[in-house]
Amino acid sequence: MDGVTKDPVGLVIGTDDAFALEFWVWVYPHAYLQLDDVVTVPIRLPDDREVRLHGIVDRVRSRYEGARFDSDAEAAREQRLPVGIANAAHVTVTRVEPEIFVAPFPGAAVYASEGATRDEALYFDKMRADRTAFCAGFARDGRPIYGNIEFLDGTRGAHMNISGISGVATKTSYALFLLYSLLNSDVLGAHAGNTRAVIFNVKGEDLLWLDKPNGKLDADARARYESMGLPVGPFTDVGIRAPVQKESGHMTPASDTRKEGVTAYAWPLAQFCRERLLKFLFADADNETSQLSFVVRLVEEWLADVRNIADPDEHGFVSVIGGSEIVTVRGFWDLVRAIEADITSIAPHAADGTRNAFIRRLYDAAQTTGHLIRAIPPREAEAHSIRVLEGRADGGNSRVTVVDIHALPDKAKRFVVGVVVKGIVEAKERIGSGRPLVFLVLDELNKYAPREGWSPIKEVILDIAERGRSLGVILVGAQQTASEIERRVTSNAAFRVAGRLDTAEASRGEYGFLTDAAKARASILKPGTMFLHQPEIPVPLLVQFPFPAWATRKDEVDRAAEASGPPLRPRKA
Amino acid sequence: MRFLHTSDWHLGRTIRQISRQPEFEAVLAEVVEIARAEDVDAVLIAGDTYDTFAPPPDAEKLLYATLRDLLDHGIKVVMIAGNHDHARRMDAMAGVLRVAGIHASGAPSREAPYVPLRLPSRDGSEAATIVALPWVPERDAVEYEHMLGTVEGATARYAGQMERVIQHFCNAFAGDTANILLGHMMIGGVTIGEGSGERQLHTGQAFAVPASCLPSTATYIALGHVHRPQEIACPSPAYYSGSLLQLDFGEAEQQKGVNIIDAHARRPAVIRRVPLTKGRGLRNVRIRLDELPAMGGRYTDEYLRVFVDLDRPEPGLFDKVRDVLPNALDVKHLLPDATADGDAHAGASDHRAASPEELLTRFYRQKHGADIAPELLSLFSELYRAEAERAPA
Repeated sequence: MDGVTKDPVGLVIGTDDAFALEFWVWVYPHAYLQLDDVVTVPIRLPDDREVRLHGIVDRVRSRYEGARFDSDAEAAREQRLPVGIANAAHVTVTRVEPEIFVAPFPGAAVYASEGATRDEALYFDKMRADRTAFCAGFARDGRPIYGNIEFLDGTRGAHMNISGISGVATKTSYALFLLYSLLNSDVLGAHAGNTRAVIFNVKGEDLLWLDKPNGKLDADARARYESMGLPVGPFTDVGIRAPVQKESGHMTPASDTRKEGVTAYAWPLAQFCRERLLKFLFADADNETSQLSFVVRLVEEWLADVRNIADPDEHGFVSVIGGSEIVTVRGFWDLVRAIEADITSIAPHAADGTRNAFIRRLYDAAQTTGHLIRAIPPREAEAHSIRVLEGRADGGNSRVTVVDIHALPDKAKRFVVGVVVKGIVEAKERIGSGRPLVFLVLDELNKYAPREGWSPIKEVILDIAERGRSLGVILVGAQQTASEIERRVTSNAAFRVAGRLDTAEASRGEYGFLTDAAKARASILKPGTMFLHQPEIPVPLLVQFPFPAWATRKDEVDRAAEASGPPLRPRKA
Repeated sequence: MRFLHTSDWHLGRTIRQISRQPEFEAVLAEVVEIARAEDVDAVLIAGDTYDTFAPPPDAEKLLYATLRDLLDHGIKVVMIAGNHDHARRMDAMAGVLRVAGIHASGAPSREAPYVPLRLPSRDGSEAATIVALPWVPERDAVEYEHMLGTVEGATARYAGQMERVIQHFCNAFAGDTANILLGHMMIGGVTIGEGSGERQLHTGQAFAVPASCLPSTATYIALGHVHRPQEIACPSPAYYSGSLLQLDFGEAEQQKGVNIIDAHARRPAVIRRVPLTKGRGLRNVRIRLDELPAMGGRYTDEYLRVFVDLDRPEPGLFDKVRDVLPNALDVKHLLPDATADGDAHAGASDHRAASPEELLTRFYRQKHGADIAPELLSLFSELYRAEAERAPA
């Protein structure tokens, strides 16, 4: 038989029941099986047909045969007791080909799968034949683990959800490896150029360097990338956006370690008014039906009306013309004061208490987020906006857009995420096509789509979870614990990934995709190792991913490689 | 590969009988210089190169001189016919142009299956797949359907047929080349018109192609037909480069330009808009008559359309304006809104009973917001009677 070891590694045992979907294998003394090994059992049926049972090792055990008491271990070691060591492995069946579900016969030879047989066992054969396979990482033995793009791109499913305790920097790293693999392999075909990724940088400044080569990449990691036909290098066509500095009157980005190549973002006052962005400043409003939300709606409508707010002048100043007096608004505080002055006429039927609560929260929002909404001259506004599918000329056609929010207060983070995500959904609706795909990488998802309560941002995230498949917006969400996330967000994810989990968390229902053995292992997973579950494969697979080929810190940037990067096309004199 | 995208040259176009040939010469020299300085591999011309099917010789001479200048710099040209071009004439020339390195496409051939152009870069290190889709006249797609049914049915059918054609052609887009769609068409959702009259044109209102029909696999979509440079919300980056000059007052004060595109296989295009500076501007000016004398010496370089606010008709207004503003090509009277007058429409039903003089008086008040001068009315009566007597009973 092709694609297996020449000699069997063991035999199906008959001392325990063998079932169609699971069985035990006694392992020859000269061989061994370890967790995650893929095995194949060919069986010949009485009617002469051959069935191949494929499976994956999920438990291994070893025992003295012939020993009766625990203390026999000592007698056996001193060779006073005639016992043999028996190693056995438990196999969960992944695939039966052809589909005749019989139990393997005790005594049947078990082979370690390689090449084409391994591909068949893990359903990679069909993915590769259909050209829908992308590299989702590597098994511990270095062989590739594939994912089926059809379950990510909306054809048959979409979205990925990643859980795992923080501090091991694994969740975002894995998401980035996947993106790198997708964008640099052939799986997207001619769509590769237009596919977009928007990544929110929520912690440190790790992601602000992903367009720079990593100088600490060793030869082994290089070989891993090359074995998959992936280039070894940083992300290309990257746009990095950082919030504008709070105290600065200029559009200077507020990023500590990196200044060059970073563009400051903020929203012009006029756009804030016209596009009804006020609600995202009230993202912690806990109830859709509350009186406060009603006042927010009224103020939003008032701001959006050209009879109240005139078009911006060349400085980006707007005039409030619908209030009790005409006011020129030069910054967000001016707008706050204009709203406050006219709040009784804007929301005449709201109770005083509600109006006061609104104004109080508006002051809070102005304090935390006000600097992101400012007067920007209309001719400069596009350069400082976060453009994903529109405004593609003059620097707006980045494939990967990193939006830095790590240093913003929580309220401002929610505003930025809400507004950017809403913008992507609206652009997609205007375009009216599921392609190109937009991958949205969002860590700390629990802040934006918590299980309890309601907020405008949760609504946008839910919208993507539920409609993203047809819109072509793919949410790659990550959080420490999936149990904190709105169920509809996690349940819509076709790909589920779990990194290291604590035992209590791993026992919750959200991790039903993990087998018992995988749950037990989840608490000891090393950084760089995850369980990946995808709809086509009945068991979660352990995947590892290589050290990033892009820098994650300033001191990782490979200055030499950067200098010898692709030559820029010179402009002739 | 690097491309320069331009369109809607409309060579041969005049404005109020004034030739714009010198302006076209200047702006095309500027385009050639940009193409040379940017070291582009090819120039994409998205249709409407000429203004008419039978362009004046000067226009033809300028086109061929421009093409030759580009070829001299080693720059290839891909061009398609727009609705103003003579498609069959372009096809007639295509074989000869091909030898020179110019790929011209007038109308998709009925005889042969469509083969997209595969254009290598100058250094041969990469290539582009270029789908060139010239203007498809509505009549070709729809025949006489609008005569049988509603216009809506015909526009929807046109959109559907264009979608199938585009999808079929763009199946050629590959993962190992830059993929360019060059097309002359009206896309739904495009912004047309000027100032307050600016509006979006939607599929269904006209023979337009919905933006969602455009491919999502194109590195860049180079469009022609609309003169206002703009981006189209579409699955791939899609731009109308716009015309070279402000061709009529509907385009007044628009910044014209060309797009420079760096396109590589499987990479997003890097698109830059490069403004054009040559040619005279067009400007709309609105003044009151008493402001006119103070306008002398202004707008010396631009062609003007002057709107004059008036209380009553002003005989010889055009000459008065031209004396002060010699570049004024068009002068519009803006009279008070006479329709606000209560009796403007009064008696609309009894106009058969009214005398010709009464009708003229009413008409004049409605049109100009003032009463007709008695001399003019008596002159009208005299002429009317003379004419009525000559007419057979």
